Amino acid sequence: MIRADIIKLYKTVHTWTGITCGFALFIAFYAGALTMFQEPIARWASPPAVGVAAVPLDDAPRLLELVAAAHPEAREEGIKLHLRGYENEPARVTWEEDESHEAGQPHGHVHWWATLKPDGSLLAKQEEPSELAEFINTIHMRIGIPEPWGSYFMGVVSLLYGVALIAGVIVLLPSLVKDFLALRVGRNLKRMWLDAHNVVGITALPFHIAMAITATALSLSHELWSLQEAVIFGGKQAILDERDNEPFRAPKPIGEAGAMMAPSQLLQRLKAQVPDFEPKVMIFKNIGDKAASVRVAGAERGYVGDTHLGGVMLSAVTGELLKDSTRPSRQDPDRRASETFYGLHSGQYEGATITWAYFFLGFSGAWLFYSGNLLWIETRRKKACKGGELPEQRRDTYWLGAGTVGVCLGCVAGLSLTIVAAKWLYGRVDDLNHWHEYIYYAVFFGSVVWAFAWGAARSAVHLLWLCAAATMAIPLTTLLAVLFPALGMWAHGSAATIGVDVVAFIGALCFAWMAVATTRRIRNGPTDSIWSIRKADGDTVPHKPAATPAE
Amino acid sequence: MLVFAALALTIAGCVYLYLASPNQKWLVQALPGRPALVAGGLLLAAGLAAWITVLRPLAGFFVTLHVAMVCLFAFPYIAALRGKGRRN
Repeated sequence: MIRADIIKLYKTVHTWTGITCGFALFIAFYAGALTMFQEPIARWASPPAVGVAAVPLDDAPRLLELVAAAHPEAREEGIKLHLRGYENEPARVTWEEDESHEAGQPHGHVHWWATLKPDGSLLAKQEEPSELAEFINTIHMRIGIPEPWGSYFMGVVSLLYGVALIAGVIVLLPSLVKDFLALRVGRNLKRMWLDAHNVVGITALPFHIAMAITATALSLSHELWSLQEAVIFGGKQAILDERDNEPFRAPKPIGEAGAMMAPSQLLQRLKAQVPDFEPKVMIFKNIGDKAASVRVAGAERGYVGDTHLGGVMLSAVTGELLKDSTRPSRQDPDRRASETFYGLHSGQYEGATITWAYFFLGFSGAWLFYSGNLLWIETRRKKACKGGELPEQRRDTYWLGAGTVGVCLGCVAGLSLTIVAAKWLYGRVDDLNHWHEYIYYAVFFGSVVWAFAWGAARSAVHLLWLCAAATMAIPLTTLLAVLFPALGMWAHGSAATIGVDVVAFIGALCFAWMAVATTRRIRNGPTDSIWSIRKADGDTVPHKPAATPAE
Repeated sequence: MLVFAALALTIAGCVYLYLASPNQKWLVQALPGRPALVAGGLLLAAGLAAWITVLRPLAGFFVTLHVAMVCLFAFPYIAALRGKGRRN
């Protein structure tokens, strides 16, 4: 039996760590759930292009040869040969070049793609790909705060999230078995929100513990490395870094010409040497040289963290296996451990089952923090005496209610609208990738201001309708693209991109349902709450409690 | 095919565990505790074995765990939404 004063102490710790970190964690989990479909979103947002199929794999040797001859920098940096034909792969071959910069200074990259014209000559074009999916990932990782402060901030938030988890479990221990899986919907709203919060927190506890640990480590990785360097390695970490990077380093060119093996033959050689490896992209370096190599990035199924940084390197001349210590089954134990660690955070293993599981767990995490705030507000609600006047609710509950509605729904609406913008603004603005940021932040901060201006109850309805409309705009945009091709938008036919529209459609219906339920609650629910818009009207008729997701 | 079997076994195991709980809201009365818990445990173990066959031990364990977590938080919510639907 745990002493009551200890439970009280941990309850205070749980409450305040949860309240202070809840907003950031909601954004991280909601955007994180979307990143589970990072590739389908990137494919949905990518305009129609020449495509991989325009150059059959058998014609790829000529294309590679022409690119290497015309773009020496690409030859050194690496020319990517795409194998899957996804919509976000603009052509069979792509590569990056450095932007002009002073030596040793940080710099950006420009992106190129290349294909063969019908007459067999080279067509190369510089075109920046959509960075929408990366932007959503940035919101997930740093909630939009610039580096390095974003990582520091999320590192501390993740650490406090871990503290909140431990404290929450201790608080729950006395009633854990009795209340396990209970979700009691009824007149006692505090009980209901407590159950709604606890069900998600307890059943998904292993997921949350893994997230808290991995997010802390990933956010503070630079600082942890520096600490290791100072305390453990004493300046010798560079040797370890060198050892870690070696498997990715291509052999240096020797200056002798060599005949390249065709990519299709190289893939056959790969299949023969590493049968279980699923190649995604081939990255050629130093084409034309006898020491030319190709790194094949891909997955080796069955491992946690099966694709992250995994790959094998072959000689592009002989097809001989040069390096394969980065694929999961050949990684040394410390790299395997770190890849498992990363894979557990990102859900990068197995396939569709784990992608969907992480998607739902990500949303449940966002709901955990949202419901935590609702519980805090409900716990501090001043109830009306029977037949008495309505009490004035505490100001802090008004502020937290407005903040919860503004931040959480602002994030949802902002992400949906910035996804929609990928099709509407393509070709109409100069720098679409920056527009994704402008749109997200405008909607996000606009929603927060709106929530404080209108109050939690009214703004919850407005912003839920905004979320529903913005999310519904995703499939509607695709539908408009099909019906009115003159709009200049596109509708890809792959299952992955149609899946984005279908999931958005279902999501929009959920937001609309919440908006309707919230409207009912603010009009008809108990008046002694920040979630009611009815004034003190002397109404003494007992109301049936009508709890809603926005409450 | 084995993936679908593994998924079905894992979900079925969670259904039994939920229905064995005194707090379940799907049935008028919870399933008899011990037999339902044993059945749920066996189904989950079979699901785990199937996932491990499809993948590898570590990945199989984590897939089983994550599917079970989704089921166990979703079932009480599904019950609450069904109850709300009936009341309306």
